[in-house]
Order: sequence, then structure tokens, then C-alpha cells
Amino acid sequence: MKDHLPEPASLLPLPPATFHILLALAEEDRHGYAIIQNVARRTGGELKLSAGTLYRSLQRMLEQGLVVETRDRPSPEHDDERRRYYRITPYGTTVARAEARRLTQLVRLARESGFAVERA
Amino acid sequence: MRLYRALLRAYPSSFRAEYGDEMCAVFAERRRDTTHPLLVMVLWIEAFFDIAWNALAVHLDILCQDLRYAARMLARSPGFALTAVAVAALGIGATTAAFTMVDYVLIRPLPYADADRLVKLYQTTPVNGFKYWELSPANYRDWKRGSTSFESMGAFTGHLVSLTGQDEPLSVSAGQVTSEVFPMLGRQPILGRYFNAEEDHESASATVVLS
Repeated sequence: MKDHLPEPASLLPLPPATFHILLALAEEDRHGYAIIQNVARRTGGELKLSAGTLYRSLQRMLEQGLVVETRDRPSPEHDDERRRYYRITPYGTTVARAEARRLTQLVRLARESGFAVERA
Repeated sequence: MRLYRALLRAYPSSFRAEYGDEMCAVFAERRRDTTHPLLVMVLWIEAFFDIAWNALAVHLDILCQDLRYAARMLARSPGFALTAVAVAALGIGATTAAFTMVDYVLIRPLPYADADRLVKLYQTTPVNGFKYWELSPANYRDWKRGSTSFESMGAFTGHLVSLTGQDEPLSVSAGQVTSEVFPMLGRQPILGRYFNAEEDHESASATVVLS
């Protein structure tokens, strides 16, 4: 992780995979496969992160200081020692909020331009 | 899983050491959750393309990181950077020049038919220490008459001549060749013909080949 974290705005726009991983980690710490499942569930199966995309994204996010690997593990009966658990950092939360704000403004602009966005 | 682990070798070793086991675990869990044979096949195809694409991307990430690091280091000491660039330029230039020469002299075949069967014969005169001495016309005729090892033998010599008659005189490269040389090289003239054996004696009218 870098000693001096850059301005959150300098990381925007976030790649979609990065944003989804941050959203998946917002609720709780998760291991790789749990992130994939969470993203698939939240997007109704539209986005299925591959292992390659997930770990390449996580590697970059660890370097950028958006997430950290945590040593807190579940009880042994629910654990698998091959798994590594990831946690969103306060900086990661700030960047995710900035990205959400950017997307909200984008949607507002789209609405104002006549591109009606239907609510799901 | 052995196949999946083998596919992961496409990644840089540092990435594989860091995430290889975990990626295998994730794939194993996805494989466990997929039971239909058709979906298993789709899972493997997806895994193959996923690894091919992301391994390439990780290699590029690392290359970009290394280039950025090198650029930062060089920017910190411009003197060293200039010296490094100059030394690299000299090295590349010298290597290119040496290779160009070796390529033309040793690697590329001569632009003639059956180039590997062409040899150039010299006369040696050990008394004077001359190893490569051009033949006299008389010796050439003797060798040609006595030779049984060669399919054909011809002689040539090159020199500069002056071309006059139109404006300023011009110095042009010229050569005298016997009639065997052109057929031996296997090249055809674009226009006209080469001279033949009947024209290859002193009393014959002079003929010329322009190139």
C-alpha cells in the first residue's frame, strides 16, 4: 500500500469490476469466491467476475490502498485455509462514495438530457 | 485442477505465487457448483480465455510499472540518463552495423542461381607469400583445359573506365568477362542477349553488356 494516498478523484472513473468489489466488501469482509457470488447476486447474474479479473483487480486495489487483506477469519468449521479475506479501507470507502456521486451526477445529466432512466 | 494450475503458468511467477492457490480454490468452488456437463465445458472455456486475457494484462501491468519506475529513476539523475541513452544508442548502432555486415557477407546467399556451387579460384605464390593472386590469362586457359572438377569455368576482371562522347566524361565501373561467366551465374538480361563463345576471342567485334 502506498504511504501517501492520492486524491480520491484521481482514481475516478473506477473500472466497473473495482467498484463492484468495493460494494461487495462494504457490508463485510469477504474471500474471493464470496466476492464473485455477491457481485453476481446483486447484479441479478448480469456480472459474473472471473477469477482472473477478480485477482488482477484485487492486486491493483491492494496497491492503491482501497482494500487490505485481513487476518480476522471465521470460525475453523466455516474456514478454508486457502482463502484470503479482504476488507475495504476508509480510503476505499471514500473512493467508492466519490464514484457513486460521479455516477449519480451522470444519471442526473442523462435525465436532464431526456434520457429517462426507469427505476428497477 | 492440474490442468487449471498448468494454465496459470501463463501468469508472471510473482502473481502466481501470490494468487495462484486462491485462484485454484475459487475455480474448484465454481467447478463444484457446476454439475451439468455442458456447463462444465463452458466453465473450462471461460477459464481458458479468462487466463489468456488477464495473464497478458498482468504482464503488461508489470511492464508499465517497470517502465514508470525506470523513467522516475532516470528523471532523478538526467546526467546518468543521458549517458545511459548514449551508451545504449552506441551499442545498438554498433550491433546493427556488425549484423548488417555479417548478414550480407556470411548469411545471405549470393543473388545467383546455385550460389552454393560457385567458387572463386585464386593462384598462390608461396615464394612471395601471396595467398590470393589473380590468374594470368595464360594460367586461366591452362587451368580450364586441365580441370575436370568444375562444370564450367570463366574469368573476369574489374576496372574503372572513362565514358566520353556525351557532355562531361564519366568514370564508370566496368569489367571484362569471358563468355562462360553470365550463363554460370544464371542471370538473364532484361533486353537482348549476352555474348557467346564465337564472340569470345580477340578478333571478334567488341560487345558490351550494360547494367
